[in-house]
Amino acid sequence: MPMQPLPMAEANALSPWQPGVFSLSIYFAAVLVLTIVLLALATWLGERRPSVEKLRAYESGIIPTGTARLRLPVPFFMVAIFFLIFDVEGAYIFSWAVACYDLGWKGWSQISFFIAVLILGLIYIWRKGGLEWGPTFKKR
Amino acid sequence: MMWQQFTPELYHFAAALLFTALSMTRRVDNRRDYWVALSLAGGGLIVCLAAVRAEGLLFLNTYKVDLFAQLFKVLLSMGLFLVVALCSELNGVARRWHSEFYLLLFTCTLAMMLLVSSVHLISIYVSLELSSYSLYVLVALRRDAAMGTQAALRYFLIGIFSSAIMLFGLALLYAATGLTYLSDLVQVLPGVIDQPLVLVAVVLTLGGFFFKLALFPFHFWAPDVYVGAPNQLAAFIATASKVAAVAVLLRVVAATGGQETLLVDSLAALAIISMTVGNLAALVQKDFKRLLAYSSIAQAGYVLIGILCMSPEGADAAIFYALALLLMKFTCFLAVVKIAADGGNPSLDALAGLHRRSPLLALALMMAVFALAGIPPTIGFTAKLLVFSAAMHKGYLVLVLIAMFNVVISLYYYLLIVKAAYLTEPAVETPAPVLSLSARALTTALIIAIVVVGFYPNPLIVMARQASSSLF
Repeated sequence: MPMQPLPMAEANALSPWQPGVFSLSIYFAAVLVLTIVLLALATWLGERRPSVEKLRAYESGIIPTGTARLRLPVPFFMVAIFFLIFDVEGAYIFSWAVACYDLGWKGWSQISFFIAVLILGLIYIWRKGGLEWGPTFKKR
Repeated sequence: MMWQQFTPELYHFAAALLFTALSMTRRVDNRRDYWVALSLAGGGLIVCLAAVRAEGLLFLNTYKVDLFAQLFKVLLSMGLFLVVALCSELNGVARRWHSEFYLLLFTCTLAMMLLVSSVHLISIYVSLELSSYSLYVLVALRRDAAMGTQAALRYFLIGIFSSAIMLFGLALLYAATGLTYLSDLVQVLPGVIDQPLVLVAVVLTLGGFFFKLALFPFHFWAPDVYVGAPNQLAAFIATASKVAAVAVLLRVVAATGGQETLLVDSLAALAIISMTVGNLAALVQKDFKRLLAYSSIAQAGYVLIGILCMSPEGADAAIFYALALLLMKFTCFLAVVKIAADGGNPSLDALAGLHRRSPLLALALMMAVFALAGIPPTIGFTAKLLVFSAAMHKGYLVLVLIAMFNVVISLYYYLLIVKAAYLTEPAVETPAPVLSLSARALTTALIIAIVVVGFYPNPLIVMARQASSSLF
């Protein structure tokens, strides 16, 4: 392989930090002090009159009917996770498809292997009952 | 493309596929998976030994097969074989997950084999992630689900945190140099390693490997994961995973070529903090596995001394230390697995009276602990001697002094283990650990290896020198 000049960023490729950092730290301190002063003043001067109406969770004007921490059926979660896995893999397949002709048969065989592994994963999920909706009584 | 150079990886991939198929079949015999895994792991060791002289560059030069990588592949497959040999009573994992347990063990070994051969930043990152993901799931397979899930989640969170840091480092490295091949980086980095941008990039990149090695400040997962994981898996994390981390650290640190620079200083600082934190925290532990975890953190500090020398002697010492760690830590975990026959976590008190219940196991434990402490006629002494003398050659006197001081601190808790096994009388009579004939043979072989390699390390040092010659 012929040696070519290797790229290397100049030492001063990024802008120098010295002049800017002083005003940045002043600004940072000012923001910090202002926030603390505002919060402290609000606590110190403000009045607190809690009532049932004020303490209720805000639901855009609708009276809440119960806790938000419902127990959802687990298949929703499973399907969401499986969708996410295969959806992300889709991104790789799309990027192969864009360059499909350039990559030729070698690229085709590689993406086929990738898809085969995905299908193997799908078969695994299927066999293990991950796609069952509702309770199953099969004892594995 | 020459496929025969890729045989060890293909073999382990095929083994993983076989276990995927087995996990989907109806279970006929619970012992089937164990025998299949043991024979496959034994075959893998033979395949790796046969391929030890292979050489070449694969996959657009991102994958380097050389003696260095092949030697580490042999160590990794040896670690896998030894760990699978411990799994005859896999009580820490529910029966129905046994196939998956072996599937992920083989996948993880495959990933670590890819890791030690990778010479491209992206292939290093991908194989590092593959090995980590396997381990996250493996930890969660613990039968005591609350304990396993908690440990796995903690492992996962710290893992993704450190891999994000590593990715940031890789991005900075690319931004600074525009290079991704280690063979190109080694020509550029030595000249610019003192620039702040490059130094930060390299240190952040190394963070991902520090996580694998359980080095400060990425060590927080180790105690919880060792305790939460099934005992056999903890043995795997303590041995094979550390070996792979040493290999990839050696490769990447050698590529920076930053001799006598700020990089060496920062690595030395990490080594010192790591061994001090590990040793001091180990002093007060009551749980045997937790103690071994802190001892691992301390040992990671010692290994790093060999790595940061960036000299051929330092690399030899680190390779030898990796082998020593494999044997010493595995012997300790052999004792853990055999003592906790029900798959639970043994405390130090559970060791009481071990020398009467099982003299052979007590002897093996004592030799391993002496080796970890670095007491002379053992492999651990030779490994420490090599590391410290490599550091002295480079003139790092203070570093070696602090390390020696740490060795003295560590003697206390290592001797506590020996005291528990040999001097303490058990409060209640516990049944003797059951050692089958093959387990006895394995234990005896380990004792012999620890002592004989300690006395006669030359062939291995010569081999390590040949392997490390491709780094510098």
